[in-house]
Amino acid sequence: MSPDALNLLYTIVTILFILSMISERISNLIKLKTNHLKLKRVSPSGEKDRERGIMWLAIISGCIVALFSGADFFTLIEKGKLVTYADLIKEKDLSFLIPKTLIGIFLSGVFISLGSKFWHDMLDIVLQVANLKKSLAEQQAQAVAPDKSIDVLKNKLVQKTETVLPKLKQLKDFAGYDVFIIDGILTLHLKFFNQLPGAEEQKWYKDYFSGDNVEFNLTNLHR
Amino acid sequence: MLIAPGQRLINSHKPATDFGTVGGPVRNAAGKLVMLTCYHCVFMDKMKWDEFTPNPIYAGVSIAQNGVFNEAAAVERCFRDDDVDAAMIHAQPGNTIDPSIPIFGKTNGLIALSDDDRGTWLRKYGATTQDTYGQFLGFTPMLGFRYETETSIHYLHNLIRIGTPTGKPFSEKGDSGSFVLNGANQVAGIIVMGDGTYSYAIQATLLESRLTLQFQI
Repeated sequence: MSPDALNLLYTIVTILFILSMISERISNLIKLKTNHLKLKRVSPSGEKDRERGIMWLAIISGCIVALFSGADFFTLIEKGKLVTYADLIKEKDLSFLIPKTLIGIFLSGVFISLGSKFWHDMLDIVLQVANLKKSLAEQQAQAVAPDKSIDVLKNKLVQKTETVLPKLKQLKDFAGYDVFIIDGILTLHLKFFNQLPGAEEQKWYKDYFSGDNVEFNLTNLHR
Repeated sequence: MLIAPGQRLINSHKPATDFGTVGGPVRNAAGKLVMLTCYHCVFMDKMKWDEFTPNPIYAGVSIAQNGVFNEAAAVERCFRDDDVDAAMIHAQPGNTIDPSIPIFGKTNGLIALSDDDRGTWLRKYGATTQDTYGQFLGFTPMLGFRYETETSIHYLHNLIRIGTPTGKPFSEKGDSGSFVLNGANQVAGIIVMGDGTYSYAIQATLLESRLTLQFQI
């Protein structure tokens, strides 16, 4: 699922969640004012009738909320927004009266009647998917992207070496230097043809590069 | 004679043992097809270089065919500084340039490697070890070598370091000048030196700017 599709789904579920809460309040209000819906029946068939009545009340309430809020399901899934009647009337666009829009409002009403708990759970699932997707993307980015911090450290070590390069070049048979990164550890290799510098000179450079790994290597570089 | 990438080449005035490799085709500033190799492969201390334009007397380049060197090319332009060691050679009259690298075929422009490309597989065709495959391991800040008869060491900066998982050298003596290609036949650089474990190449982007040449043929 693309990020755009996930955002659209999040918007739709959020809208339906809010509308279902409004619808629930309305249907509860009506239920409390209507005796045959308010009180539990003793007989199972009577109770079934009451439940059916509550269900229809929820659907009708959902449809009314959908109608007044402009929750055309087709517009919702297409644009992720509600129909604004005021704007449409201002623009003399009466397309909201066509059967498709009315069917869309009815569908939204049915979905709204599923209840706020249902849409709250749905919102949780969408958020979990979004978080999972985000964390997977972050993990992938970390796996693909090279460790930039080690390159920064390498550049610092190169700069430190460049500072003493004129002195290094005066050493007999100095062939150059390289920085190796092995298992995330930097090692500076000072390379020499034929012979390594004396112990005192090596000590000077080890002191200079204290805190860094430094090796003195003989090399048989050929061209 | 056909001058092709991967053939042995040498300055006609040098001993035949001190050879390099005909790297590959590039276009010079005039748009003409020439071959690129390392400067040190065609270097001759008597050349009396004047601003890297060689003295014609010592600019002749011999190419090996069936183990025999024949003068078939000449150094056209070369360049050496802290980043680059390269020369362009053109075919002498009666000789032609074959732009196709053995096994790999024609090149496909250049690629500028960066630290993010570490691990990229690279390949080359050289006169000594022919076709070999290795991985880009990063950039080597500075390494140098002595030119023939020179006492001072010439250092090159920001070289492409290439290693092989098997430890078998990616290049050996005589492979200098070989084009280093990626899987898409884009030129990453040319081999300039090696130490038996790693091989080092000059970056193609630097070669293009310093010698005013084009890898897109």
